Amino acid sequence: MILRELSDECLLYDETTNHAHCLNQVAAEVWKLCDGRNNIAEITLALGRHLNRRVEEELIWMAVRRFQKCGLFLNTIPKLSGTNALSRRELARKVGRGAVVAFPLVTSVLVPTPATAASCFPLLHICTSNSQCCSNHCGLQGASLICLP
Amino acid sequence: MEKLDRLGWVAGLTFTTFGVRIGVRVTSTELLDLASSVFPAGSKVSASRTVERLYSVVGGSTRGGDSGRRFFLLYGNVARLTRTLNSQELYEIWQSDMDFYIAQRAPRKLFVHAGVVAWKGHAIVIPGRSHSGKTTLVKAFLQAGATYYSDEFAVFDERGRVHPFPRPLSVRTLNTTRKITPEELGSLPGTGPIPTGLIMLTHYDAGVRWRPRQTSSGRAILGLLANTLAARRQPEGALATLEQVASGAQVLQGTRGEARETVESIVYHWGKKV
Repeated sequence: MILRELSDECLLYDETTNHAHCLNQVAAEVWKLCDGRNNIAEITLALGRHLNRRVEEELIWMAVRRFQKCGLFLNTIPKLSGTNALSRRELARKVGRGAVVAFPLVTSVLVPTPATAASCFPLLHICTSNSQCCSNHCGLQGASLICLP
Repeated sequence: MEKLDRLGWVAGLTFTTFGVRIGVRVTSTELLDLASSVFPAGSKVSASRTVERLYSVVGGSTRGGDSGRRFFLLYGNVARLTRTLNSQELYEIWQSDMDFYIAQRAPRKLFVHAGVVAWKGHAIVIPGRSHSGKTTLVKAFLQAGATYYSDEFAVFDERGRVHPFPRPLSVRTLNTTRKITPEELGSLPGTGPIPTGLIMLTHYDAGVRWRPRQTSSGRAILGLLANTLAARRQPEGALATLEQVASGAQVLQGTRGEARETVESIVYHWGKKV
């Protein structure tokens, strides 16, 4: 995993799955605290100190759920239920209507292969239609459809 | 390769382009002119005899059964890329293969699939896949007075500056693709590297009004990374370069409608600040 810290965000690149993730400030802080030594209560306290405001434990669970969904944890977390599995809307309601809540956000993209990132596929690349190929000719060779001259 | 080596090669050249050494050998000297035009602007003839990719072009020969028709054969290393009667087709396939190779192999440059124009010395970078409307937007910017940098790749150096890659614009019509030079649109190609001023994360949707929102550098980096050719091969270097790119740029995200309306809005709101 490659980590790059920006001013108020954090970027993670998973070399095994080729997914890149952008964590906002709250998610980044929680992720850094998820080092295998802290429990949820300790992370909640530490995050509260860092952000200089009261933090709900459910916020940490929300981040944990997101990390697990994105494959950012080595080990699996038991399925969450009840108050631990609050949605963003439910959490906002619990904290209070007027309160400004910074939620943990994780945005992910699958980093493409070179051919997918290019405008059109080069010769001999697997294709499904003519328009995908730079040569405008997607044809059968053997059992595969590939870009042909 | 040995069989190919035995053909009667009459001339050859080595070019260095974006730090990649590419060789060309031909069976008739007039093909060298075509070779020179296939290389991107700024390519330099090199004295090196070692190349990373070798193009072999056979032309001007006649084949017995074709009663004098002249075929062109193009090889990239040992793989045959095309056999055609049409020199324009040869040119396009050659250029496409070369651009793709350079984009993956350039040692100190990062190639991102994007349209790029310059406005008052700052680059506007529009990353996106095919059919996202990049070319239409680039064309509209050029008609509004921007300088042309690229319709295909944003070429970033380690300091995050954009370099020109000024191939003609590929404007798609219903069934064909038409090449248009920036001069035809009243613009000129850029000449040197410039810093990135604006990153537009957008795609076209008919009838939508351009109401962008400002977004973070991290999101911009993800948007660029999703269109970076060498991202899987060198993720660490790609992230470092893109961080430099995004650090000084404003980032706008949103669906756009008509290109002209979008460009007018950008020029009015963002163009005044630079």
